[in-house]
Amino acid sequence: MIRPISGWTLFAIVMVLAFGSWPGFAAPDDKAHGKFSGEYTFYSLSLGDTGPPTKKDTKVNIWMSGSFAAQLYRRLGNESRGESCSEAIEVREKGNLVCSRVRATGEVNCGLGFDLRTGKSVLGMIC
Amino acid sequence: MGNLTPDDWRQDISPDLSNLHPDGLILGGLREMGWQGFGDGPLVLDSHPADVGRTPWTVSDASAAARPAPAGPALNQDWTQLPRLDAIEAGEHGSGYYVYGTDDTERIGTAARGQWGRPRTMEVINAVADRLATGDSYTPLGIGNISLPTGGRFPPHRWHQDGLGVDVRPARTDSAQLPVTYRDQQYDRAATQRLIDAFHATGQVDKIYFNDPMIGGVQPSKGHDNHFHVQIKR
Repeated sequence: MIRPISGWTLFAIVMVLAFGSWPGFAAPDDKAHGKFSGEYTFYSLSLGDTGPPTKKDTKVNIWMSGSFAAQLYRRLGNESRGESCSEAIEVREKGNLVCSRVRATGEVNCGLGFDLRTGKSVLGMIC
Repeated sequence: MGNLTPDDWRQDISPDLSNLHPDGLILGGLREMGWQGFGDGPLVLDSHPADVGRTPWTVSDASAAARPAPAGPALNQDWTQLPRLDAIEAGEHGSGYYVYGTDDTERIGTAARGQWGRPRTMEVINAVADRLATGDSYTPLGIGNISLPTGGRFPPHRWHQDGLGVDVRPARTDSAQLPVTYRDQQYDRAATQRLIDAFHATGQVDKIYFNDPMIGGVQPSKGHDNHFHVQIKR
């Protein structure tokens, strides 16, 4: 006898089918700490016109690239589309986390900053 | 830990391979200032005696040691480097421009490393400088980042890769060649509007991003309180 599928079971099946095989959401990526590449710099004032870091004003900008940046971009989702500054790139951003994707090459980079005096995040990328 | 000086800011970055960890990880050895890379290898935080008092923690990885030394930059042959003008041309007599921006000390020739662009971009900058020079009021023109000589990504910019984007400082009431935001007392709104108008007058400007709501001819964009970004038409 075939039993009807409950709503929650159907939902679970749909979610597995939808996300289970998507590389960016694959279980191994979620369970282990991954490695990533990038660059960083310390500065004062604000991005776009920085000064040397001082005792009273030190911020760090972290620039992420490679597959980690690509995952961030994908996970931010299309709904977080941001201002691109140029037709050559697509941008996704939430708060101070900003990722840009070069349309021609697919290269993704993400930026996030922190004010080391307060510990709060600051804007990670500018036009 | 003492204050970092401007000289600290300008020191070159060079990985110190002598600190190779037995596990193959390079610990420390990267100077604090400027952009420093870290790779996909295992990330390690460790102190380095030479950096005590200035850079107590650095991040690096084994893959840096394995990578071949990068070749010199392949300059874009059809691009032009914004010339660095001398003091008189740069503003004392009301004409010209001055430059600021990323990697000011890693110069190639006479201008900052991040000020390479298309010939048309340079024509626009010169046209703006000429227009400002003929006005009744002195309007300092501070040119910041454009693109790197090789093009390519230019942290912390989303783009700035095509030689057509130019960062410009707003004007200050004291005419000092220093940073200013549109919220500062030293901000000169009228002179900044003259700057914006001069760029639009070239007919070569696509958009200008700047956050002062009292300025015309611009659109707001995060991170543009202290400079405006001019995007030249393709």
